Amino acid sequence: MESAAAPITHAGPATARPLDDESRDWLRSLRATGGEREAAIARLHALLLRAARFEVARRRPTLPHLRGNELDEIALEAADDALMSVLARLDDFRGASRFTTWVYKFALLEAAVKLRRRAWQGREVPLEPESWSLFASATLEPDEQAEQSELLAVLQAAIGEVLTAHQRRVLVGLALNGVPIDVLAERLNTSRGALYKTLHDARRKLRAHLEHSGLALETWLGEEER
Amino acid sequence: MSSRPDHDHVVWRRRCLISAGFPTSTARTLAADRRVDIHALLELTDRGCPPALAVRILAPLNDGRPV
Repeated sequence: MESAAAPITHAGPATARPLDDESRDWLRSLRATGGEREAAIARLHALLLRAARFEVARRRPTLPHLRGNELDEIALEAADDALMSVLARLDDFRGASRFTTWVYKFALLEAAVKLRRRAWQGREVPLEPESWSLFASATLEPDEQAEQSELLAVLQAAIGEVLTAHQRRVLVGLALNGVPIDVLAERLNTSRGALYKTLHDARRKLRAHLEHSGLALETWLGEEER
Repeated sequence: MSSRPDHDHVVWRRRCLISAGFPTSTARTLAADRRVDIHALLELTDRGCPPALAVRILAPLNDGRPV
């Protein structure tokens, strides 16, 4: 199973600093051989499993259909994959945070990704607009609503006219229907990066089209990445 | 990762390919093959690449032949 992307850790020369004793011990023992390394890996896995269980428990209310043993399995899988990621990226650790804080993020990310995938398992991934009203805000004044309606109409037309068929599928799936990008990537057997590229191209085309029409897209199709 | 995706995923992938103009039989084969990057196929056809050529371009390298 493909592992989730590494969490953003702000590593790099600009943030490099002397390591604290505990972090140095972790690195030394994980880079050792034989029993010392095996013991360190076991401790690290236990730490990652605690983190994954924490994240699973935190998100449990959003997944009422999952049973306790399924959640335990997800946490264990997340800890396993996080362990592999951490061991493969030991050289990336620059000490911007404590080592345990750094590795914690791997477990949280893996657990979150696995839970999202599980939440969408067996569900249809909609790539056509289910409702354009999802774009609309209900908290606007009448004059703002009129403006919004105009923008939505232009945006809807632009999505149909300016984008290629697959750009439209990806944009609608991710931005309008809320499909998690890792779920869509898994179904298409592609990478998150490839989908981000398509999404970026689609947004750029829409922005250019709307600007040409005298409208601004800034608050639409949220720029944040899932 | 399994080389055979869930049935629902296969159906969904096949539908994506058919809607993009792939022949039904080709779409069925591609959809069931977990090695095939459907996104890459659809990107190519979006740019005007004929489906048959897109399949040849993106055929898994270790297959020795186009899908």
